[in-house]
Amino acid sequence: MSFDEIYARYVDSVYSFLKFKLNDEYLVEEILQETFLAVYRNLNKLSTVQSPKSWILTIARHKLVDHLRSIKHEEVTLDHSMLVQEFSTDLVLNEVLNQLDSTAAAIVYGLYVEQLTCQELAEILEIPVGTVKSKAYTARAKLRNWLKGAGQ
Amino acid sequence: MNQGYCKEEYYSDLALGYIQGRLSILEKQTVFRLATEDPDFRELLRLELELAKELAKLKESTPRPVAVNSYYKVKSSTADALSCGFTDVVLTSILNIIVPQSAREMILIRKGVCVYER
Repeated sequence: MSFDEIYARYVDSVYSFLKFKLNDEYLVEEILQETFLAVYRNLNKLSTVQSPKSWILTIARHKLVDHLRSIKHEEVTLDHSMLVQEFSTDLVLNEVLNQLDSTAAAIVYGLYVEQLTCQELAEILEIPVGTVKSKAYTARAKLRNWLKGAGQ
Repeated sequence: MNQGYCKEEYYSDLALGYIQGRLSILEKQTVFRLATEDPDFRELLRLELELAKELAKLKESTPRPVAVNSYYKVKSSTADALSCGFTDVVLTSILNIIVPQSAREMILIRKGVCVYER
């Protein structure tokens, strides 16, 4: 796969993931560029990865963490409540997601928005698959309860 | 269903698999059967579908100017690096032939300072 194909196929996934994590358009664009620059420089590794999407999102997550470290954020584990954007589409959903810890929110995002598997999410977030599964199970139950309540 | 794998977990996994489009034909048949026979599963599936619809709103497309700008920045920075690398190789080869060792080092230090200042 050429760089142009990769860029065309995954730029939206990276952008959307970064927007989910940050409420700073300028920073999102900067990290987007750094992510694809790293992808370009490591294109030879692509043939060895199982899922290009999770490989690229892992790079994006690392770049995001690096940036947060460099701007002296003390909490480099990506505190969701601190970083998450204010969703213009649905503030209630935002509130519910804020109640989840950052890892759980990222898992929910990955499962429903990017259609990633638990295995892929484990690779991206660098945590065991079992942790992804249990966090996903709890977070999804919480979200379903919220929906149930909203529907009443 | 494995031991220690409760009904709720099984239903939850099945519903997610259905939403993500990862189920086999047999599993899909199970989903349809459960959806008609079991009110608990039907409710769970309904909520999962609604949840998927809500969360799909989080997906954002890259604004075209951002996508284009980022693409060209990546391309140009890698092109710069490549041309720098090429220039370095050519210049070093020429320097090695025509300039004495001490002068060569001075030139390379000077070049490093220029690059740093740039």
